[in-house]
Amino acid sequence: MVRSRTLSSQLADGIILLVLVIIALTSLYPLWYTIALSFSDQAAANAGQVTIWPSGFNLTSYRIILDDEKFFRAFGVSIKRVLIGGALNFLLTVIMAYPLSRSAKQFPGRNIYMWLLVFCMLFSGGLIPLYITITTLGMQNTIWSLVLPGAVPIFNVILIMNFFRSLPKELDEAAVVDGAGPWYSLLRIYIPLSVPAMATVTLFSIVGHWNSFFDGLIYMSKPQNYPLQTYIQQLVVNITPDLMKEMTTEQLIELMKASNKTLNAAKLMVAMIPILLIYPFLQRYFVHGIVLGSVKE
Amino acid sequence: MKLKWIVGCLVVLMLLTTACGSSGTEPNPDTNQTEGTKDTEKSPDSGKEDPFGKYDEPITLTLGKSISTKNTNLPNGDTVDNNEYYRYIEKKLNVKVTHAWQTETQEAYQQKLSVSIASQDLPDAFIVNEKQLKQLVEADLIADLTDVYNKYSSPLIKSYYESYGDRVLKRATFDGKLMAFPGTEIGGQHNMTWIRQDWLDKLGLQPPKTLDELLAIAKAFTEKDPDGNGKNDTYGFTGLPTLAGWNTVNGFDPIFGALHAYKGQWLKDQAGSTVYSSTLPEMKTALAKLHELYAAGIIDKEFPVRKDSTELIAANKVGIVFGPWWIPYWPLPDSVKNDPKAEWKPYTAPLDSDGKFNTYDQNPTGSFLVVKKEYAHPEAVAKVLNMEYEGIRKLDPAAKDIYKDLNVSWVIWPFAIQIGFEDDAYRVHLELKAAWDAKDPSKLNDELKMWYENVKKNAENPKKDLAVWSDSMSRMDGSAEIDPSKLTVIRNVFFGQTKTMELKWAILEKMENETFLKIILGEEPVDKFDSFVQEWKKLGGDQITKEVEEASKK
Amino acid sequence: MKDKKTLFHYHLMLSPGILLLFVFSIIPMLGIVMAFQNVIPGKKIWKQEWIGWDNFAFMLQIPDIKQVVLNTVLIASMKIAAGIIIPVVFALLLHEVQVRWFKRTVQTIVYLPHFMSWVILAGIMVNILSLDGIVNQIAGLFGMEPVMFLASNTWFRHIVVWSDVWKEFGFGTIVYLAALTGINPSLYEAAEIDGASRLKKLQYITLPGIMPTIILLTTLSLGNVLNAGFDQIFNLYNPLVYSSGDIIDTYVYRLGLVQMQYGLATAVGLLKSVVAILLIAISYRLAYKFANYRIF
Repeated sequence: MVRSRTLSSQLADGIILLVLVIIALTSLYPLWYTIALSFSDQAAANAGQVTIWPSGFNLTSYRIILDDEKFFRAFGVSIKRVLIGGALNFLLTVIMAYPLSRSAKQFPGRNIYMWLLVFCMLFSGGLIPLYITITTLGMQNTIWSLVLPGAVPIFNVILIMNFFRSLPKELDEAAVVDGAGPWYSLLRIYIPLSVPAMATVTLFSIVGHWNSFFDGLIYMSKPQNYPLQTYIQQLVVNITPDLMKEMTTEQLIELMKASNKTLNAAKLMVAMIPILLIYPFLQRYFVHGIVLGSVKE
Repeated sequence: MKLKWIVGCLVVLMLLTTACGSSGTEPNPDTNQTEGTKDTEKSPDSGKEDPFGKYDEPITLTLGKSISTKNTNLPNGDTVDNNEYYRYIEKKLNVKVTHAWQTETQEAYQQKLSVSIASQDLPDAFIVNEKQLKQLVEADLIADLTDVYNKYSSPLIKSYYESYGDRVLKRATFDGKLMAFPGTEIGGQHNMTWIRQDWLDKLGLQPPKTLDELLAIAKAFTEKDPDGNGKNDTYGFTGLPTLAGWNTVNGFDPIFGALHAYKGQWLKDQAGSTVYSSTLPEMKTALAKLHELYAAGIIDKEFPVRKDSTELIAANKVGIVFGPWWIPYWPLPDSVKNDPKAEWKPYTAPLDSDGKFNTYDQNPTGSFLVVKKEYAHPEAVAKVLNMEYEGIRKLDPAAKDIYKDLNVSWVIWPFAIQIGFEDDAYRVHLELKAAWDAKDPSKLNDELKMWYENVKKNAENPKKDLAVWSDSMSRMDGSAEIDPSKLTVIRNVFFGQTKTMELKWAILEKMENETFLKIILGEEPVDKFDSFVQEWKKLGGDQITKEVEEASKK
Repeated sequence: MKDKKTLFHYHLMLSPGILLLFVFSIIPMLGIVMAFQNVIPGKKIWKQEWIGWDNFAFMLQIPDIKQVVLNTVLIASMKIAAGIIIPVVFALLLHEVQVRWFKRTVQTIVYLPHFMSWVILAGIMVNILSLDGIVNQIAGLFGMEPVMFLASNTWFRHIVVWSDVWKEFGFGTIVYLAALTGINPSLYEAAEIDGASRLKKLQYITLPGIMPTIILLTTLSLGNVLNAGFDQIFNLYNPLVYSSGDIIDTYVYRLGLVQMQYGLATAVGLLKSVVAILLIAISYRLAYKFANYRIF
């Protein structure tokens, strides 16, 4: 793109840049605000005095979160979960998307599988039957209860399947002529050509695993086994009127003390940091991707 | 393809068998044994019906428990499921208490418990709310504790329950059977009126007695710049979108009470029939009053949309706060921290035209300790509870010194359920006050001693340490105002839910909250109240009233 | 082409996933029968009382069900529409930018709000929209009276929709950016040689290139037509805006039904699923019939 640009084109560029900057600033504010809040004094935060800068700068909230070995143990559980769960998601996404990207002519039965997936994505028996299944299989208190139930990321499978389908058909035909089997063309042709899409769905599953907290609470019977988000979730409580009705005064006072805006903000920040670190790394793959033309004959 | 069908069938099979396993269990030999002893009342084995009797063989008791592992103050690596209390109980009773599962917060406990109940994966003993209690009874999953209570509960526990008449035990009784040990809510949690004394002084005002006086103060706080910052940014008080109710700091309850209006209560009218307080004419008067105040800018304009009504308190924008005796624990410390001049004082005001302070009674119970039906030793739960309360109340000399001076909370004992006299908060206050007046803390227990010290510290160095200030203000000043002789308590005749309520209560409540707020804000005329009442009755209110009337007769 | 061996490998590739789905998704679907039961938690599933369609009938009996469903569908549809258009437009704008670091930075920043919880965002929004908040201050410069936005039935739905779009568009953009990289650069090169304008390239190359992704995501998001976003509305609403903001989920929550009423909760869930699969199947058929395009 070294061609000289016309004036109107430059003007268009300028407007685009301006719009993007404004949007970016509005998106940045909540994060900025949350950081300011997390470093503020609690009384000032409770009074709504924080707007842009921390009020009464202090590190108490971070000290509470990073307080003990529990944080790091939970962090370890989360890392393990992301690694195992992410890998599993990736593997299953790829090997399921490939046969599904064949046409019904190439692969009779493909449509049945497809609608089965869509059905599984939309319908659910709810929490209780799943819980019974997991306890029956003896998986509670293990990492498997966190990674296996969501091991097939149907949404991702559909995305990747579509991406595979959009690749030029000739690629495949060439491979078939070479006598390559499906595994070969998946590994050697489809995956290398789909790096941006792969990066996208990998991000989705990492974020998904990293952020989920409810399953950790339900399937782990002791706080020692919680993943990070479950652990952090338990540090701060949201006061709901329903909850208040069932509590004794002592519990209520405890709750009031624990309900804490600065801690809540710090919790959010700590939980976000790993995602913020991973993102730029994956980003290079979907902003620029690889140049398709260079591979294509 | 075949393989997955096989695995699938296996899983289904497993589901079926385990599920049957837990429900189909015959009463096991141990249960028979206890029943056996029951029949032969005076068995030679004297330990059997002793509320504190030790088991010959060690038994276990598993709990589901909500307990924070943060700041427990436990020494020597003790944990919430392995500590001196648990070991003491094991030593004395031969009952080993363990946790089947635990959560850090009450919210998580509720979620975990729901799943636990629905999948019948229950611990031996656990604490539930009233709705869950009813469902457990209906599903026949929990043990009948009638005999256990009669034979094994200690005189102390019984005396606590008896102090409520049948108001507490009745709630856990189904078809004449006691199905749980109810917790008791300690009374005196009504909203009183806290006022900034320093603002009063600054504007040369006297503490209020009547509603008009209170409102005059609120008006002055709004208009006369009590914080002296030269800006018109203060209000008399703020409120809540739901207007009033239990455990709600900033609820308008004291104003309602002075006008004989109550929100959301089931009352007996003079003819003795049941009425819903929100539909009575007094409510209309009260709403009209609130509208007047709102229009005059005395009530915080944005109270309906605030997510956190205590923000204005912390920011020192209001000089009047409606809240229970314990608000010096929260949120008042934020106010004092942000403005050390803030001097909060509690008042039993405003009074009605007869000079009475009206409030309504609180639900005396909301949580219930239940025992799984299959558990072989339900009486062990009663025994542990007996031991626990002898310990908490410092009546057991052997348990008295466990964790002495370490400020370990009572909830570390196995059952985090509160059982006591209704006026405990006030009794404790009197004890503390008596010691303070006599300048002699020697007879107080550890907890009260600590408060005593804090009252002393705060008297010497006011507000120096806000935690000390909180104890002192709550336990001395705040709880002095819950003296039962200062209050007129209107009895609510029904807590809980009737059949029609399940279907229609949400819509009626929605209508109520929406209409009331709109009247206060002036979006609807005050007379809208009359059509609200008509509509309320038509949409199921009448039917529900009938059901409540019947239920409250039982 | 479809020799037996290849087909065998296709089935083999699918089998681990299908097996997992079978165990963790299909078997638990037995629980759907709860929609037709009066579920007493703790009782065995086959010992529950069968009540046919009563749980569904219950929903219809709710006196203001019409308004609640209308709110839900309105808010959800607005979110779906805006949730497609905005990320596409944004991805295209970003695609036009040549400065690499700028592109990356903007993209990173706009994706951040996705990780904010509504509890915190609601706090920020209450401040911004308060009577002396920044929005009213700006409006005041133009001589407008301050508005209590969150108490206004005229404004509430817009606030809900646009704040949700603002929170999620950065995340939605990612998929389109990935799709944009899939467009063959040689097409652009050819167009440059032909002297095509920017708009023409957009119209004839870029848009058609990502159209399948747009159609796919639109179809899948139709499944959310009854999900208007519980967390968000729960944190933003108040009784004054019930008439424009009360949705099925918040209503059911206030009924106190979510906690232990599994029968009804399952029925609500089932209803949503059925509506979702119907809408998706319809759009699948339409796309196939009129565009000869298979979405899945």
